[in-house]
Amino acid sequence: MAGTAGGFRTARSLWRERLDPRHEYRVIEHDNRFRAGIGRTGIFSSEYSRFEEEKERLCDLHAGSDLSEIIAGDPIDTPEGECFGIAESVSFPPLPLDPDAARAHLLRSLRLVPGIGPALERSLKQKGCRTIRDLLHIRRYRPAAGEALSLITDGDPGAVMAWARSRLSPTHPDVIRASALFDPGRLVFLDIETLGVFSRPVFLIGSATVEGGSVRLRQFLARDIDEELPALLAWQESLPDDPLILSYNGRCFDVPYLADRCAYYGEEYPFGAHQLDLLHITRRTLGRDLSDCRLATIEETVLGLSRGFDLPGALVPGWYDTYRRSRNPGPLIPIIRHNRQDVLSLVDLHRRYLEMYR
Amino acid sequence: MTQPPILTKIREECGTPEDALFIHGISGREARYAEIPARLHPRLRSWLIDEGIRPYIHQAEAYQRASAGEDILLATRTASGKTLAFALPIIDRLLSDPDSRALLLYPTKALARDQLAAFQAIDSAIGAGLSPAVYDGDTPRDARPGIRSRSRIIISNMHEIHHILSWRRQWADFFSGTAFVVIDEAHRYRGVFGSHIALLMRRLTRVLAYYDASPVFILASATLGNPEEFAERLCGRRVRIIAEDGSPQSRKNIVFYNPYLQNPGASLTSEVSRLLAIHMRHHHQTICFSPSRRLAEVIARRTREELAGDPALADRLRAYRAGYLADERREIEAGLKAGHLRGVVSTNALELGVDIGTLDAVLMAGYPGATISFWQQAGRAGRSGDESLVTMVARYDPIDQYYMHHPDRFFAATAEHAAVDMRNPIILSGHLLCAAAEIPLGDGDITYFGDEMMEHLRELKDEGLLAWTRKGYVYAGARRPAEAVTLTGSASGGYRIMEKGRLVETMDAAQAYREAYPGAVLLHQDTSYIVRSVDGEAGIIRVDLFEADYFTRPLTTTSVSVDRIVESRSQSGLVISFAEVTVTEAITGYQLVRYDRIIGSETLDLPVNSFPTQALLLAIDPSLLEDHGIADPDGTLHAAEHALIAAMPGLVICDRNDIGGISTRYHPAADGPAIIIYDGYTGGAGLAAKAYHLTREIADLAATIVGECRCYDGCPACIFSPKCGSDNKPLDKGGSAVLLRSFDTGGDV
Repeated sequence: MAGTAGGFRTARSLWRERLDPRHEYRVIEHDNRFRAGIGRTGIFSSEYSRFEEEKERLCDLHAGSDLSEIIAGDPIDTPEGECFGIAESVSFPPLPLDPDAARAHLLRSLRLVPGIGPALERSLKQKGCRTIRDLLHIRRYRPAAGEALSLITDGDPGAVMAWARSRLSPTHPDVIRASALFDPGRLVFLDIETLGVFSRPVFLIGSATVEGGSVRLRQFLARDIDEELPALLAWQESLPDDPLILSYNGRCFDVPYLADRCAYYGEEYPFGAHQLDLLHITRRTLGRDLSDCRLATIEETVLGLSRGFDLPGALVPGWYDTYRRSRNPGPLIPIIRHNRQDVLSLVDLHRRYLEMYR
Repeated sequence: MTQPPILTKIREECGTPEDALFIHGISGREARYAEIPARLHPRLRSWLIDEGIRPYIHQAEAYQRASAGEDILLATRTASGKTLAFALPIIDRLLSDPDSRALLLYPTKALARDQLAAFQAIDSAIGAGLSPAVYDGDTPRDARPGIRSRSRIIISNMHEIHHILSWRRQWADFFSGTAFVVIDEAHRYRGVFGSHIALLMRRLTRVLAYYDASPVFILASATLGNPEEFAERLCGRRVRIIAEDGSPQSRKNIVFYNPYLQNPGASLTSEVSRLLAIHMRHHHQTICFSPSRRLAEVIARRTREELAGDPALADRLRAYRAGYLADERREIEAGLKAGHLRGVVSTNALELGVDIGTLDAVLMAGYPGATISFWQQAGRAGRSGDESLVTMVARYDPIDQYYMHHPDRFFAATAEHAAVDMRNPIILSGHLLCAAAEIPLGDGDITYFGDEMMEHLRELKDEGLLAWTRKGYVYAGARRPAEAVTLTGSASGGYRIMEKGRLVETMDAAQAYREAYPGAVLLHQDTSYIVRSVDGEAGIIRVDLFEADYFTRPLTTTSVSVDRIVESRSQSGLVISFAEVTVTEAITGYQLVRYDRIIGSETLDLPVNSFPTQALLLAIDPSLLEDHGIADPDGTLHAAEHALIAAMPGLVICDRNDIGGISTRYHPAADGPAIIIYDGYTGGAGLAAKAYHLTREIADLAATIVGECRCYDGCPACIFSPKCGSDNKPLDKGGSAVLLRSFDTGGDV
């Protein structure tokens, strides 16, 4: 009796209204900044209307066009269906990856040997013990120093990085140096775009690898929700063996998010063993000098880049939703561009840190 | 047996006229024990022996059945040792199977913490190393991963489960080992709330099945009229009912007091406060249950005035209700348990099994609306084994007065049926969205969500909220569905009540709309506040300290538009329909009330509150109002509506506050006079749907209420409604008696 067509209609429109993406942020009337900062993410109403106008403009501009007409890319086939792949080579100065210099640096870090803390390291250095090799001559440190030495000289870079994280701190410069030990082909720079902060689909995975003097950028787009799993699989397929994933807040967000989405579909997610989260490093090294640590802020102040029009993250789900409902690819363009820039900036930022801690 | 002094005192104070008091004695009962089950794990067995614990028969039966893999419902009384009945099968299994785990769900955080202490005590006594832990909204973020991986007994609540199911990847280990799911106080999950919980349990079972876990369900509830049906609806399993209660019971005196026989102008607040003061002076530690949060505060305040001659005693009384901050509540619970608090005035927040120790007496300000609640509240007294006292003071309200006039019918009444509706389209589709965000939904999930599932999924896909993929239907919205679907059925969003930057308490949106309009007076313990502003966007209500000698009561207007008639039938003079409607409520102002008297009123200009729901529509032939010499047709319809609403809760199982109504001389949907009674929840709560099949019984009871009432032109005992938006005007009692009787004589429907 209750299960009637009318009941369905009421129910679906009620949920449509309650689940509207606009509920995820607050438009702050009259740009009153004193009302910002309470509760949900806020966006000033003047900015909001500017973005709404931009969205309309993009929709008008691209009405009737097909995605593939305005974005160069190709469908990618996976066992679970198709997604859309965008690939590009961007020439970049090679990363200053100098494993020998990094190794030498790490060997001077006596604290990498268990039993040695900052005070002891200082006094050992005053006594002339400058490297872990020197410690081999001191009987009580010999076994531990021997293990640390063989790890740094012969061990897997991932194990060295994990060791540095746990012995020193997750944001210590030696963690950056350990990243220089990796074969450049194992580095993957990652940024994703999703419909929310958790438990909703991911629709764009941006991923870059370094190939000599250029960066190979790949974006895996779900043109609709049914392409999410194909995008996840295609991205996994593109990864080198045992990668080091470099991200901006990826340790807390992007990587567990992708793992959750794979688990949602009942798929394995075998990655994420090695990660370097540049947000954590940035907070430690530059955080005090910056108003905030958003990647866009870093680009302007550190990398000297200006993005021009950039879509705030809070609006991304709504713009994708507009695209999905209207099939007008207009609103996707700034999202794809934003994601591309995020990934490229990660490569740039990593370079800065490698240079800084050479 | 000699009469306790307090009963003599109550007779003295309240016993005129003689029928104002009705005293019913319930004799005590000896404990019935069982042998310690032979198969019980040796460590548990020796613990029981060391502690000198002999299991009651129901505890032993719970162990036997749950250990054998049967789903059970314990329907024994409050304080009958349910914790041990859960603990024996669970710990026994967890000791012998190192991969197994148990999930225990309690209705409140307070109860969860209480139970944690009980499980920790057993765990450490037998050195089981099960690390029982509470996992809820108060659990610190950094403690969570450790609890998920280490604890084999996790105590939580429904709200938390609603949210963690979509984090299932982190819970994979726990879920794959889940061997038991305990649902305590299951009778709480009835009506709208119950429908939400039933669907949440389907989601939980589905996620557990994904990890190949098929747990035993252990439910505990108060006595219900339909335990088998209810339990099966709630958890989707056929359960074995264990009702043979082996716990000892102390002798109880149950007193019904009707203050209105002596003084028709009596005030419930004054009477209850006077009695509470008497209880406290007689050294009876007493819990007084109040029907509303506001009244709890008022009674506490008035009782302190009664006890003005003994400030030390007055100081040992507290109010207790939802909305208080956790610390404040825990302090009160501890004070009661330790005994230095001698009285507490509570809403049904303390009806649950939070351990507040031994209480000597229970005092109820009015009938709590259901016999289930009456006995739950009564169970708060007499835990010590001494003779205990339970007193119910009647309100001037139809149901209360009915039981005062027919106490024998109260004690003869069977327990209510608990309603759970798995097919409420709004609740079901909301949970389908949540489920689709947990694991993709497919055909096979009909076993969890019923035959209507596929139709809902298609509708939600057309709405863009779900997407069809090769793995099934996937949630595709941009907001978390678990945030939009609130289990209590009310709209999401809470308010914080702030006084100069200090948080006084919290309030949900629906309650804030009714109670915290600008100008409203709010009470919190002994302090009163006046609402200065409501910031809906920021969720903040700003109040100032305000010493008011009055209270405020909102004036509302309600209109109902009928969207669609679902089902209808006719009898002579009457077309009865079940319909989908939209209710629009507006608060137009408020009254200032001092000591139950209206001393003034103010107008307000607030936004309206509108929601879709389900309703019972009675389209009345105008001739019924012309014949029979009805003097005032508007008053007749209005009075009949009130009487029907008064009669409904007992037959449909709901609170009077769950339903609302309007009456009018002309409603377009009826093309004539109409009475509409609707569910007060977005999407409906299955109440009108049920009433549609019980209209005869409801009309019959309503006619009896009006016919038997001895008042002249209406009173709260028949046609006055405590929540009437138009101030109980106009009303025509004689006319409503005629009209209601004509419904009944309409012949078979």
